[in-house]
Amino acid sequence: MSGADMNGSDSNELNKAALDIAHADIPRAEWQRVSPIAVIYFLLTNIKHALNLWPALVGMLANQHAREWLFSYGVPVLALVVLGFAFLSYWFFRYQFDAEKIQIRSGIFHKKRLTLNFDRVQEANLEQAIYFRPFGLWTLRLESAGSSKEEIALPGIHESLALEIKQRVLLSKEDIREPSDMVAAALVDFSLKLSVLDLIRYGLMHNTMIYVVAIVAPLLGQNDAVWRTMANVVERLAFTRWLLDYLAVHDAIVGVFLVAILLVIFFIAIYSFSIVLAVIKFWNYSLLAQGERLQFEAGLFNRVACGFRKHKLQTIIIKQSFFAQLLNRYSLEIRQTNERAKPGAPLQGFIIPVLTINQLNDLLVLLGVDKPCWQRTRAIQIFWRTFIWGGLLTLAVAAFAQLTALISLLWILLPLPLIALVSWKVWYSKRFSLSANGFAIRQGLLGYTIAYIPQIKVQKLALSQGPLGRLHACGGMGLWSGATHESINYVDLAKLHECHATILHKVSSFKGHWM
Amino acid sequence: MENESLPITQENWVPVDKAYLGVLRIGFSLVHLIGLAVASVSAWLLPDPAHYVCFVVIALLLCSFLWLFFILAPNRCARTRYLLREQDINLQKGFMFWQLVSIAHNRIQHLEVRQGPLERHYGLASLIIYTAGTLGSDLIIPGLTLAQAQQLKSQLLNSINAEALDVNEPI
Repeated sequence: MSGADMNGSDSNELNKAALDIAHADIPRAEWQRVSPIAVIYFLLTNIKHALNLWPALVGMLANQHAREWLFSYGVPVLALVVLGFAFLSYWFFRYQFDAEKIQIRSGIFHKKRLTLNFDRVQEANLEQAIYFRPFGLWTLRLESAGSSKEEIALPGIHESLALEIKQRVLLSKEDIREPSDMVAAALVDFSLKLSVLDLIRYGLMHNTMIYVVAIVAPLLGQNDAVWRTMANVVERLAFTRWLLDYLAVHDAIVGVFLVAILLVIFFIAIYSFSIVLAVIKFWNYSLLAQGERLQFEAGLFNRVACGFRKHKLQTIIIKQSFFAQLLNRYSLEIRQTNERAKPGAPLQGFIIPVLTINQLNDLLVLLGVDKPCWQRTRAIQIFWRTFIWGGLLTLAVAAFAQLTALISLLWILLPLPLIALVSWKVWYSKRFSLSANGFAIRQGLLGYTIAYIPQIKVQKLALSQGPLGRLHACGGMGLWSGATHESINYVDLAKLHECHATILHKVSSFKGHWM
Repeated sequence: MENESLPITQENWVPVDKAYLGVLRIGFSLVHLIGLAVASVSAWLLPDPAHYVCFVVIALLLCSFLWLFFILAPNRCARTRYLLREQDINLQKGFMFWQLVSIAHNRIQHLEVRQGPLERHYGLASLIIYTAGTLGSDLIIPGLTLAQAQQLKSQLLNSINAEALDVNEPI
């Protein structure tokens, strides 16, 4: 189903639905169970919890006897227990709802009863896990507002039921909103669909695999057994034998060429994997902005529908990595309050993975983001970074060269220019902007990231000055929004004071709701 | 070097109570005592060449103790001060690393007066101001007398309540 269907129609249909529900003939007063397929959901969540016991497992594996016992009895028993618990969790999980609220009873030993009023619900998101798809079942996630943030997940309910509950949430919201909002909701302000080509772009732009490889490779390198096994396998390959014969006859240059080809193959493999991940995560991504609401739907196996209201926006993060610069694309992430407080959140934040510059600008206008007026921080930081880090690194290299004699002492000439270059680029990329309604910080080494906080969303503001700042009449500033903490250093004193006074004044004179 | 090169000059900042110095000093001393104890026991238990490391640690601990006890603590105590204005509350602190933290009244989520065992001994308390922001977005004003902390808390509460009325007023 598409985003438009799920987002629930235009205003006429919404009104009709309101009438339908008002005269709903199905009584929803008794406790009900979700579909039995939801056992899989509980099984998976239980396994997730059981994984927290992994330190015990390490202890068991270290001991020979315990290991034997574990594999002959432990694993089957554990499997049975986990399965049993999953079934019991499903059995004791019941829900009921009426026009105002939804109640959930759960827990095997520790009974829990949760009541959530629909008008307290911040967000109702639908999610379809792969094991629910053949049965047309969905998981409905409801998030409540308030300091004790609760999240309800209703796994394995039929689409019609999920939509009905969602409709009730929306209706209880409509009551408190102005009627003009209903009309506005009918018009689509912005829509975006990502093609497979866009997802390939995203895979190229945000390659997390490269970091994974960088971390895992040295760990594997430490383990001799892994190398020996790999060498054995490689030696047996016919290709290797052919290669060795070939190299015996030909030049070393050919060898270098072959290594280069291997590297290229390696990078292609990593980037393909990253693209596959992007496709799984953002398959058939469609974004819809209507009035106050933004909603996207995406996912190949786990279909996720994630909604967001404009007034909940706390921080906007715009990213353009090095690759993204080459591809001329941007990524946008919107952070809401207490992003980290929700367990099992389907995706981190509200992500719009690939945007052209025009789409980005349209969206920023829609979100009410000011045009930035970038200002630079003090360039003296290049000197100090080079002096401190470059100096330390030079000393380290000198000590290494002296003690081991593995490398020439000439290497000490390298760190200072290198750090100077990096520091210069960091300074060059770093900018801040105090506009009419927002504050933004831009930073990066190869690509860049912009964090934009609307001034009225600032919770706490801090100025700081260390000894270096005192020497150069500059200082740093930190801003806490409801979702992120951003900071910038080496800012001119006068500008720092201007930012502090402006933002503080803006925050205290804003009387509306900000969360 | 003048510490207040980033001042909000016109208003009168209220310094924290002098007894806060005692709290700081005892706090530092306790931490160092524990460190020294661990280092001494290790020096006693470890074999010959290794225990020199412990001696170095002990020497470093003594130096840092002298620095914290005689220089940092008095300066920090003297430079920790707060300012309550009509719309916001501010705290200045720090000797080497100066800091000014501001929170607007309408961002305050809740307030807490906290009194640890050390503070209770000196009749002091801290006022903690929570906002809805991410980790580290609260503001702790240390070294207030208990009465002062309670008074500041009720002052802030009054100001928040007055503002809540403003919002609800029909336009």
